[in-house]
Amino acid sequence: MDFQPDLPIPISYVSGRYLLFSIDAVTYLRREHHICGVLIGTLPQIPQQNVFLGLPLELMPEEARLLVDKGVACIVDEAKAHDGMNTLLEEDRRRYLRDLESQGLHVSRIQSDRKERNREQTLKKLEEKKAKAKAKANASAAAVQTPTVPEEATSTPSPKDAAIVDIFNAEDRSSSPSTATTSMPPQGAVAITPATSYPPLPTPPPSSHLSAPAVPPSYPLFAHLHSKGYFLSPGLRFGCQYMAYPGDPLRFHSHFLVVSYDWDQNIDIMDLVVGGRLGTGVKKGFLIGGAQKGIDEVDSEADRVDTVRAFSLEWAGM
Amino acid sequence: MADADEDVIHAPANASTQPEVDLSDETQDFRFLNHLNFFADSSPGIPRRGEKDFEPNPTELQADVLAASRGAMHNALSYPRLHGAKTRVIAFYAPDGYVPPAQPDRAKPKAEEDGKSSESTPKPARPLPNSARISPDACVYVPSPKGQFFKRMGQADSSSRIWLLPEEALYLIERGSLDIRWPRPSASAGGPGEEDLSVPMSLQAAYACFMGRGSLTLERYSVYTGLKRLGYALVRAPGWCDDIEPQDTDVSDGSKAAPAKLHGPGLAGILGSLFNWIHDPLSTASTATGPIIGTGIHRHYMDVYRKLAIIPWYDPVTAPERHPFDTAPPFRVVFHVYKPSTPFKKSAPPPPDFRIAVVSTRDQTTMPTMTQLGALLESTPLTPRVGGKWSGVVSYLRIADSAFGKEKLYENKGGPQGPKRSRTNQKPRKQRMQTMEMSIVHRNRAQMDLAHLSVTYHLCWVVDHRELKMLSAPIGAIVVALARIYPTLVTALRQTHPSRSGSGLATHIGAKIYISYDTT
Amino acid sequence: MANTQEATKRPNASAITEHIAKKGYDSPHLATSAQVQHNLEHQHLWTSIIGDTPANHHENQSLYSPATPPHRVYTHPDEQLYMLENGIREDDLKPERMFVVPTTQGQPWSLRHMAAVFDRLPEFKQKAEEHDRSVDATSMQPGAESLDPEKAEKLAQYYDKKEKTRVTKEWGTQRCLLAMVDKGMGGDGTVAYYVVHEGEVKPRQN
Repeated sequence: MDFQPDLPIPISYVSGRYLLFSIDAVTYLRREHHICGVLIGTLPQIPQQNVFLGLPLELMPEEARLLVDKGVACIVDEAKAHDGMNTLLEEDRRRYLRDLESQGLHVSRIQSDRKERNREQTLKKLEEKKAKAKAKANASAAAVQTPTVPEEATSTPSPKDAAIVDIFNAEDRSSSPSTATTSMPPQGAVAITPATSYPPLPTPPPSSHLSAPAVPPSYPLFAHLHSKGYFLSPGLRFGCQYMAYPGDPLRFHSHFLVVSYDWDQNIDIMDLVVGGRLGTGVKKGFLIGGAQKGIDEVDSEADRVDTVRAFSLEWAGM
Repeated sequence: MADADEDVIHAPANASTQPEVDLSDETQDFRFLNHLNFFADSSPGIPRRGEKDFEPNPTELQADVLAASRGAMHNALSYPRLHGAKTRVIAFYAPDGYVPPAQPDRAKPKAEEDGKSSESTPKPARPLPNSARISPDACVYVPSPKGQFFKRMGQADSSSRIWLLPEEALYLIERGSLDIRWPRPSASAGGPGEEDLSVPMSLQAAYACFMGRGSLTLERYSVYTGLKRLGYALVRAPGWCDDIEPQDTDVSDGSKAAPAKLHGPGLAGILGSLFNWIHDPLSTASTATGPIIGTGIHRHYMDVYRKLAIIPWYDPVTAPERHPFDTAPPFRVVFHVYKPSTPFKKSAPPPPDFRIAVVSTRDQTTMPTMTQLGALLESTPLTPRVGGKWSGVVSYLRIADSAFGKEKLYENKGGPQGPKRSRTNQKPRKQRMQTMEMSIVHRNRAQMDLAHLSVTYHLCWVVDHRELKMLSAPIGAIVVALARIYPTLVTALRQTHPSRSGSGLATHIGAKIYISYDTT
Repeated sequence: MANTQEATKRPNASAITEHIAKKGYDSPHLATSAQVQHNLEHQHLWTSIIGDTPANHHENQSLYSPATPPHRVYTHPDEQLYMLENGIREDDLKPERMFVVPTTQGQPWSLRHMAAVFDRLPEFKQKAEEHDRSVDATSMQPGAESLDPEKAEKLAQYYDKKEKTRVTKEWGTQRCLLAMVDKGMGGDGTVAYYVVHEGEVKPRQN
């Protein structure tokens, strides 16, 4: 859990966006650096919904920049790095395949164990049910039984009703009795699609790292809030630039809808009403701010962050 | 409780009765994912969300809960993509795109049957013997396809291999349904059934190789995959390729640039006014020379109101239809979408249920200009949606032309207003019904028209088309209304998905968004 | 329809329009300021409004109309918690002066303006306090004689704490009230009020 990845963490630059594929990197950055990104991938265990999403994790350019500036991460051109697949030595290839196979064997062993246990449990349950059903009036028996015996008695695992028991539970977790009775002896290794390409690819050398991501004018405010301990996420859903959370968004509601302005940029009073009113409506503050100094007045982006001033607005209720 | 907008638990899919909240609007507590298996048998339900706290406090309990949430998230995200022997579908990556089958296998009518036209991206195609329907962008093939997915995806070639577009391949590998292999090390090793040293592609590799291929952007992919997960079928629309410029055909520049055709009250209106004129010969046509109402005999309030309707308005029904390539990216339809319930055949796709244009709100920070929006709307016979996307977050907006003057409030006194109204006519009315969804919920806010725009629910701006600026926010937070006596194109913008109510004040307060482009 | 003469007769101007017209302000921001003052006084029943003075101006902008609301406009969530824990009700406390910044739609406004408002706020606060003392030293005190000693003690503690939080910012930072007047299309007399805090101040939850 408290895994410490090697630094700098490579951030994949893919088609103009910044992505993370390693779960360890994702967990680490969230825990230690308050960088959450947005999960955009499909979870293989429950692929037909949009509530819980999986890897990859997309980072805003601001997040990637912040991490690069801190020396925590570096940017890797992933398409270029994958050219390395063509030149992979046959030896490495074999070793990698062997590794995958042994992982696959491990998985299938766990699966068949679990299946066996499930089968026993299901059988036991069925027995109990039957006994109960007998004892009860026969009319109610059918009704009791239906929820536990799935109607579709196919043994093919359908990804639709996949559920998670834990990480290495196979998708064909099935309590259906027909599966149980026809359960197979462990067949060969399960094939695995790995999440990342490292290995077999070697860690990209520092010389291949791309430069720090270009950031929008709102970056100083982003970095300012981040330095104050806020967790920031994209604000499209609330029509603002960022949402600022006082703690990990997993556990806390956001406090602010954030919009950045340049120091002398004209602010339409109506925009303040819109932001303030929406914010109050969802029990959040509307926070505007920006750096007092332009990038040409200081040495670096980091120096601008120190000149940020911010203001929070709430509807006065009158 | 701390946050009305975030805290509503998942309501049954009864969209019209209450403004629901989309769970995907917020970061979810992954602990609840772990509870899924308890009721997985009965319903593929989505867990109820947990209570979140307002702010961190130094209690151990809070720290423990956070650690548990993070642990659950870690576990959920580590779930491997496995391919059991029985269900495994193997595919191969073809970096150079479609290659004809190795041994020419001529008469295979099956491919013909599966071929279809929607993939015919007008990109300069390389010579495609036999299987002309396979997109030049296809880059993954499945030698022995099985399973449900290929009914709605991919194109078969003459030897029954299914060729997948990059987004299709990426979607399938991501959901753990496809085992994609790198090309074999030596090109000579092509023996069937023998994938000796073919290395499986990782998810990361698939993103690196497929993203950016054939105009596939992450934004488009996010929209694609987001809708696929919900069961929609998607095919690329003809406007997919960005490099197709608006066609300079017979239309001269000047007439093409005139985006909005301004109309009087339409045919019905003209007939109506003719009728009025007959009925009430004393009224004067010009408001400059006399009172608007005139001195006729008025037997009904309707007569009076009808005369007060002096503002010319735009009627989408009579607008000319345009070619899709008149639109400029990103305001161009890139996906045709079919509802899960729509019978969909790969070989002959029906007219789409939705048309989608994908706009990155990072790159496009302003509202579309009237020219852009007008072209987009006129290139579609129905209603397109715009998926706005900002760093991994997708938001959908429905954009519909609305015939401003058609919504005659005064003919509609009393009685709940909403889809149940009998006074319907064809297409625009239908759109109207969809955009009125909200009004059932907030009955008091239902009647939105000029008379109601000054009500406190509304914040009004008039956007001057010469200076379209971003209203402090990406698409979604704009409430624009008109109250000008100028010829005006009114475009109604509202979030389609009522549950995406987090996005923007308008939806939050149940108001509809009008964008009015001042064309004077 | 018979008597069109009558129908087209101009309606009487509103009281505030007349007031502004009578005063003949030479700059629009003074009129805005007057309108806000008028609204505060007559719609929201604020008192002790200190009128506009030239010192209140900055770059052709009225900065403040300090005034006292009948009820507290803003209480920081942590302050509220403290009050709850100590059994202090809002009525027990003396009203707090609030500084109001009148603005109107279309007026140039930027972060620089906003910062200027807050930079000069302490100065005006001091002036307003002096003004209060000069006007009536006792009017701001709640009826102290009616309090039992325990309550008085609590209140004293509260005021102590309040004084301290001015420095620690536990109970929020400097704040003012942004009054926004809609003058578009002739205006409809609506004034919207928003509390603005300096920096990040967590939102109220009620």
